[in-house]
Amino acid sequence: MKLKLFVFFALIFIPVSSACVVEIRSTTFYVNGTQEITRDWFVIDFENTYGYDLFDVRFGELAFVPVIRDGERVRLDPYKNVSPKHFPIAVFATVESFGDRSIVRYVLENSGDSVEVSISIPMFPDFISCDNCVVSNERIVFNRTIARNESVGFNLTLRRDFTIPDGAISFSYAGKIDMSFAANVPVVVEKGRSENWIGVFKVSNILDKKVEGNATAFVEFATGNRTMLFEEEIELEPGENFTKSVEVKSQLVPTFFFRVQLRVEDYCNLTTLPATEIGGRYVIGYATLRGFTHTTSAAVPVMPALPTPEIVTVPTPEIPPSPEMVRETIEAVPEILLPPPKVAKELVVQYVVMMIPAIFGTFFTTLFIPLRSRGIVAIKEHERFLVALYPKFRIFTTPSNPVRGGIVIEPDEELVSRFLGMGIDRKYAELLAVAVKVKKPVIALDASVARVAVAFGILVIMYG
Amino acid sequence: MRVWLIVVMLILCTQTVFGGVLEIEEMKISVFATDKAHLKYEIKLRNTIDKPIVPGISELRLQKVENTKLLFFPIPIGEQRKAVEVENLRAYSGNLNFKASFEHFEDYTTVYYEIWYPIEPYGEKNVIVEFDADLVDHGLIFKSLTIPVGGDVDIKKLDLDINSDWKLCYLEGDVTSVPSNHIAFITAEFSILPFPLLPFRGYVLFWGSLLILIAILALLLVRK
Repeated sequence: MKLKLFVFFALIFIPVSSACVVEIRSTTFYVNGTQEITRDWFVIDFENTYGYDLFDVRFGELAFVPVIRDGERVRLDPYKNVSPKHFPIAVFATVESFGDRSIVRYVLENSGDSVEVSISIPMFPDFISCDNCVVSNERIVFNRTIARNESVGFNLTLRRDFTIPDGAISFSYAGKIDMSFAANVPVVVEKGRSENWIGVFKVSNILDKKVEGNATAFVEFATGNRTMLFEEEIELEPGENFTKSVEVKSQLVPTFFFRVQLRVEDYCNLTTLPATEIGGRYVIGYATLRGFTHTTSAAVPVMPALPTPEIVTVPTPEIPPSPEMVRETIEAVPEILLPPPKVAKELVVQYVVMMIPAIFGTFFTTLFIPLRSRGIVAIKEHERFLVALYPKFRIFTTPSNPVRGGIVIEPDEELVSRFLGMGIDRKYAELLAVAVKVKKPVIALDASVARVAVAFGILVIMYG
Repeated sequence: MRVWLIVVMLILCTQTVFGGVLEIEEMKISVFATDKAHLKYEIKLRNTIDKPIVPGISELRLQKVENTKLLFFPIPIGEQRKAVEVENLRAYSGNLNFKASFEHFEDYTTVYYEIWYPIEPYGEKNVIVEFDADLVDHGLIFKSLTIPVGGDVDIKKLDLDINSDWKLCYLEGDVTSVPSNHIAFITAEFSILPFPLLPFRGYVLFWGSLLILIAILALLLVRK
């Protein structure tokens, strides 16, 4: 997985700073048309190029900034995680096998705006050739602009049984997000007198944007009496003025007040990008395109890295389509019954003579010497069982859910991802990955975990 | 100086290893120990690839190491490890504040700080995390603290500045860099007495000498 970061070819380079608001979705695409988004968040990177200071700036519902000076660049992390939304892209792969070869047909469907998509898969041993894509720098690369509701695809010709590794899919969707602010506009109040006092109230929109809001005028006398003269909703196009004069009949000298609240309703560019999570960090610009294994003759079941619908873990209004298995059914191997061989009496005696001391030795060693070479993999919730096993067993454990006194082993993240893809919790996925790494049995209390463990050839004890 | 550089996965970040994407180019830890310790981590994060990287949730783990005590005398046999009380926690970069929190576990405490803003390709970000922590093991004449340093990213350069209102008499852990998934323990001991910088723990020297003196005096009295 590590090398994937460094050997990107022809992926679309999307500078984060080109947008005002960036939405980032940590995503994994599966070849059955589903996608898993584990986190969806926003960041703001706004540079005030309006040519004047902005006040009370609102970026939709995301953030509020009191002042952004002319030319100032504001980078904000509003810690706004939202319910994950799916990208309007789906990737499907179907497999057809002919003789010693298989053809994998990848189809990309775009239900959103026109988008440039790039897929890059590292070269793998089962690859023979590709159609509608190129091979360069040890990567298979497909690059196309897909119009709304268009489907495009490419084909890979491979060996009959194959494993396609994880690839990367990059794209970006552009959008808009509401942004509003208040700005300084000149306000003039003139006081005159003929028979009555005259107040002239004037606002000029000197901005290059339409402004809207309300204007309120008051008159106040030395006695402290205050009277509202008018309150109006106003909209001013660039260069337009608002003028209103009001006459006031009074023997006292009035003071005129004019309060104007105008805002510019604008928008800023929103860029939505995929990201790939790697060990708690997020690489921005591409999502993982999960690979898969296809086998027609293997005797051992191969676990495809395809999701079951349950592992689309995030709350989403869309219902993911049911997974389309791209693996052919494994044919049953016919059972052949062989008669038990006859063993000569001399061999039996020799065997018994040899085995008696060995059995005694094993028995006493097990009884009196703690067999520290024996081990078991467990997590914190198994501690109550370990009392019986310790110290005869070495306890191996995971870093995230460790058993006190256990030997902590870092699980292989790729294997953990694979177990996660089979719909089991992360703690159990790490437990199994450690078991595979140290080649020791696990304690499993959960039937599904035990089943997965057994499928991977891991011994399970104390299940149930 | 003895350096404890041990692979202790228990104290490491739970995040999985992915060296090379992000590294701590420089980390300066400033500690001022009074009744509590004020810790300030100045972290320079560096994106080492040609894609923007979001650091996400990062962790600092803390553990209070106390010597076993006989009555109120610390003895150099065994030690207790505990979670740490944290106060006045903040994480920031310039005038930008980051979300920061902490969580107590059975025998350690984790401080979290979250950065969801991308670091540009090959770019850097300076982050400061500071807080007060109940890390100091107080005695009559000596006080000490142990700071674990390490995580899931390489710390290329580590600077440590430990001070106190008492005099530094012992420092263990002369470490200048920490590889990913390793942890270095740095222990400092301070004394109210004007000891020079010692090659071993001051409390062992002081209380040990006192006990030997008492034993010799007792022996002399018995012989008379």
